[in-house]
Amino acid sequence: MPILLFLLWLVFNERITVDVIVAGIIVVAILSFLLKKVGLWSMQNDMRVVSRIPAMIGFVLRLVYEVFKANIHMIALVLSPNPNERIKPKILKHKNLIKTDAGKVALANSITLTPGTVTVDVGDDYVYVHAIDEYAEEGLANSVLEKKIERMEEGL
Amino acid sequence: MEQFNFIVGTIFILLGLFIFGIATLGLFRFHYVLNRVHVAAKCDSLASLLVCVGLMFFSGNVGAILKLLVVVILIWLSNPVASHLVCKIEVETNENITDECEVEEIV
Repeated sequence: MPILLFLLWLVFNERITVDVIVAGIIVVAILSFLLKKVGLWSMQNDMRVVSRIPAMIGFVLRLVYEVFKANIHMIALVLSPNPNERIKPKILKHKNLIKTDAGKVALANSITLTPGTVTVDVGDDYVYVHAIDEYAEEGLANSVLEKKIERMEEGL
Repeated sequence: MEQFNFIVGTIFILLGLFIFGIATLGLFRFHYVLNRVHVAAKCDSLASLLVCVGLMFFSGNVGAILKLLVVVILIWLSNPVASHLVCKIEVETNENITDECEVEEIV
């Protein structure tokens, strides 16, 4: 976390000089101290996140691919002559095995970005999803991103 | 090299603007909130990614590229959350939701 904050500081400054680095170290130290007080940062947590970086990269690449697919689907739907007859909206209850809060947020956000589905509500072991047509329902039933998130939770 | 950056950047930005246009058109072609949210949520995130990639080609220095990357990450995190809130409020407040779509299990 401190390293991430420091990199963000360097990105915002756009140049690497001594005064920028010294000021950055001071600011990051104060921020880390405060985050530790509040309980948002601990060393073990960081180590777990670091061990999951390869899985996260795979997840992000897959997410970008899914967003492209979603947009092609959406463009075809919007440009079809009568979009309101072609859709078949439906609200589904989708069960999942994801336990941590971060995993649930990732799942809800990636459902919204994948073809034809938008998250309506998130609960303990289910997500309410608004699907726009049958193609979207099928995509939700065997979603690759969900498996990737589950694998990320196990820490592989 | 200058010319190559200009051409590739222009292609990316035009593609992004095209998708923004589709998103705006889609908002008018669908008739119900929950269907409109689909267009707004998906097309906007891809279009902003494409426009930012185009601007990266234009700018050409590392600092600006990384800043644009931060912009893209923030948009991709906040856009789904915003559309999710719109959906949630609509489903919870609309009493005649079954007229508009099939509901498997009511919330």
